[in-house]
Amino acid sequence: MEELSNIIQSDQNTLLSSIDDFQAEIIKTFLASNSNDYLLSADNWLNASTANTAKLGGESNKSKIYREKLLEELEKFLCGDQQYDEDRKKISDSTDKSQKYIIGVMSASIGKALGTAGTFIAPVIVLLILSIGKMAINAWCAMRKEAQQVTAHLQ
Amino acid sequence: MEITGLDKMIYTVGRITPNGVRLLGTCFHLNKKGLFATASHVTGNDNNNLIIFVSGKTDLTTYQDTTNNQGQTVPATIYKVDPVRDICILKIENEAFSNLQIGGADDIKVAESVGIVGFPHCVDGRNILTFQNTVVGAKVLIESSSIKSKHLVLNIQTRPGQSGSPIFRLSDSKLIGMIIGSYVPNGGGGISLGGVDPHTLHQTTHAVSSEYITKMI
Repeated sequence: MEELSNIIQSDQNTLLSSIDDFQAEIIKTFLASNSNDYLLSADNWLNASTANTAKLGGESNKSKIYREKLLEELEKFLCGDQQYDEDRKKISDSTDKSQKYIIGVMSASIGKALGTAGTFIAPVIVLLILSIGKMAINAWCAMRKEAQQVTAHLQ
Repeated sequence: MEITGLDKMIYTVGRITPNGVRLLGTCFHLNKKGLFATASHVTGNDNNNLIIFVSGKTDLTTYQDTTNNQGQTVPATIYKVDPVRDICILKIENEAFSNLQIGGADDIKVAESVGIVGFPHCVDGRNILTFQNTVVGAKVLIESSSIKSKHLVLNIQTRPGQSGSPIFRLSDSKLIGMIIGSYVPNGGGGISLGGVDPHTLHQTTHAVSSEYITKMI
């Protein structure tokens, strides 16, 4: 899909402009303090928690969203898994080809699959895309598949 | 501070479960169409079956019936999240907005009086809107993922259900912060006696500056 190929080829500033300004500001701070490490910055976002503060509400049994799980879903989205057929069609059928729209659709659909809000994971989706490093989608998908086969073989 | 009408601005957030509505914390109506603020941990960043609970019987100028748990559920979705400051903005399908004046921690001095309005113990099913007043004990920077943000220390004990409660400057009802929790070394969770962490039994409540809410809406 041309739209998805284009988004992977986008530069950091373009991709960060596809999320809310307050989110981009936080991500830029993470990247500056982590020597531009995208994965570490993604963990910083997912694991953020106010220091020395007991929460006065919410659900204690809520499961955490892990970066690796998000990467697996992103792989399914980018590499043609049928689970995301409708979402990819939504992107290809839309007249809006902006990064903001595409990241929004990806975040909402992956968030739905993982039981979390799209707006929460959008910055992580951006960071994971940046971590692909402008590799061609097909090459990245083949590399991921190979890595999984090696892991399965070792287990 | 005028308390009339606060019941039309401050509600509980909950989730519909097979056993009924589970109340999770407090939220308040913002000055933008259909938007409410609460703490991010109240919603767990999960949209599923999320609601705002409107009982219509939480007027602070009357007696609230503690046996009446009836009310309406209004579906809500997570509109924006800042996990670093523990803020979540909820959206409902309604054009209404409040006349809230939003400031921040810079608008209040240590020792100045504030009003806290929320639903202590709502996580236990008690849906009683409660006003507390105290003073700002300190202004502090608290870290989350290495980012330091402005917070207030309030000299009062707060209980589960109060996360997401708005904090008003008592002199003019300007919003200056939102409760996110109480101080506990290393996040607490070590000991629980009857569901209460003894580490939280003190008068050091943490509130995040509401200036960060302004950036999200």
